Amino acid sequence: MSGRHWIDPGELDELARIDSPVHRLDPRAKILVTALYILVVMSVSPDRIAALMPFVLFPSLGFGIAGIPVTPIVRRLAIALPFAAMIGALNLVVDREIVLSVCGIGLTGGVISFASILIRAVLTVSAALLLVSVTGTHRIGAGLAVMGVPGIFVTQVLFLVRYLFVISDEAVSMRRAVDLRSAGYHPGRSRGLPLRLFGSLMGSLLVRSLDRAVRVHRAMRARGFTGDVRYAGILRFRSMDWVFLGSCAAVLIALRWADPTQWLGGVIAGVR
Amino acid sequence: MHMADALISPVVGGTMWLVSGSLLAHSARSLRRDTRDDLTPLMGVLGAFVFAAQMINFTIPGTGSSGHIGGGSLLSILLGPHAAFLTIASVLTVQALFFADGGLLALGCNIFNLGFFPAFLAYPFVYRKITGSGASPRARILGASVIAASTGLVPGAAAVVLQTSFSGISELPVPTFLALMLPIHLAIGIIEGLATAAVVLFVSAARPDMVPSHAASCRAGIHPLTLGLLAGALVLGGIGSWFASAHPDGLEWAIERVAGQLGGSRSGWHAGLSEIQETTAVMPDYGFRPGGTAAVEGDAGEPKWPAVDAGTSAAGVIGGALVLLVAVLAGFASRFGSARNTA
Repeated sequence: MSGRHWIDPGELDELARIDSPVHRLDPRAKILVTALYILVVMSVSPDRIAALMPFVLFPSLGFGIAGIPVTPIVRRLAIALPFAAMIGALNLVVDREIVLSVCGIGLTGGVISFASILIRAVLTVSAALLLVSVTGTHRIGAGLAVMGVPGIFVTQVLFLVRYLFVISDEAVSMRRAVDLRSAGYHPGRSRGLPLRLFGSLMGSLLVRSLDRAVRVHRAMRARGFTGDVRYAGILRFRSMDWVFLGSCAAVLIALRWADPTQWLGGVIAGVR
Repeated sequence: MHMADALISPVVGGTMWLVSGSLLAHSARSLRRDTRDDLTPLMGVLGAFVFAAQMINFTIPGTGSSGHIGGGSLLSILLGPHAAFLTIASVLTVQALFFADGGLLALGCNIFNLGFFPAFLAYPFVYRKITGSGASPRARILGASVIAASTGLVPGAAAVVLQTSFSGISELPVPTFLALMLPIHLAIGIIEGLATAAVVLFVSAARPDMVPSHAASCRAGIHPLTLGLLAGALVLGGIGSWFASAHPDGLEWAIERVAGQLGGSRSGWHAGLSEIQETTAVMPDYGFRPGGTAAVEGDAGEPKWPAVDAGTSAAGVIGGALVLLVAVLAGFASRFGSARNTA
């Protein structure tokens, strides 16, 4: 398959069908906590790497209690990191002042900010992956719609996820057909198609997709669709959700201001 | 050029969330007025199409390498600005949630950078102006696509630079960063335009009814009030993030100020310590020497990094490693406690 970044998005939705205490929480509580978590992590000043460590607990416990397997998450993390790593690597070059030395190895400001960017990328990306894999698209959509996100946008996201497989499968089989007939392009020389061939291939896919949209629309009209998806009966904000929301918010805010790492390290190392 | 969460500060991210959120609300409102109920499946399927199109690479003319389209310009041409903006935003949301491509905090930035410029700037003011209403000759569609795709991409690349710099995370000076990003994205824009034109030309030849060539669907307008709000939000965010990045932690900065005033002899203390630092930086176990310092610029200017006390650093390293270990172990331990029954 040609697209390197291609990962089956349905995998996360499958994981969302597991039954666990984390899965059972109301999507609104999970959305709010995830947002707060990302804000708090990103507001820790870039040079305080150690202070970021307690925040590992949140995704670690989340994935753990929910029983989410590690492999699909790690695979997605590996794909997410290169861009952040690229920008962070520039800091290595720009900031070469030694700001800290550990056991005789001088660390430059660039090394520290590079590490800090990478760690925060891992933390925030895993928080987002955690949200999806313990909630699922449909319930996130329902939560967002109830929280005031425009209905047409929520519907659009749900539609997109639904048709992703259908249209991509079509694209893959068309691409395979081109490869088999080799239509004037020589595999081995380049991974891409000549532009003209690309145009007609994508054009055909587009025409098929648009035709499909017309058929989908007719089918939906026939079933009484008026432009709104209804989410009745999906959401129930129970006392457990209040407890989860309140305690997570309290812990996150406390970790932002107090620094248990520093204290713990101090106790162990006997310095300060 | 998806921004990642790790590259922006909460102030910049939050500001861009507000900006993109109001653009989304605006687009949703104007589509409501349209009352085209076939738009929902059309947008959904086209969003999925963009995903699929990104799986198929084409050869970049004149080079050996290959690339794939971004799809912003194509969506604008097929759907008009408002529906295109919503569709691009949905594609980016799904990428952030399912593919970890870009992040949730950065989502506002990404929607603005990759959606606003192609849909609300390049399409109405470049593409439509060149092609006009009615059927256009092929060469004109080609030219319009290339120019529109570049106008859609380059400001987005500039916005990436500004957002990262305002966040105070990249230490590259803005002009250097711009000089790195802009030429690349101009080239990418031209290629994107060529690929977009290839698709549009094919469809308008095969199924002319599918490419809207009338201006009716395109009330390009963003209300002046919306524009004013946008500008206001950007200015506020700019000021806020400048302040935030110069002083990453308001409280620490304030404390440092107060301490500086109380201490009085801070600059002498400072200079002395950096002298020691210069002579001892390569010595083993330096990090454990209590009261030593690492850091800092030799000049009398404000330190770029808050002075890192070596004792504090050692405690930080040890404590950090321990907490990390505990956090990861807790995750694995909790696995055993919880029942796993896949439905």
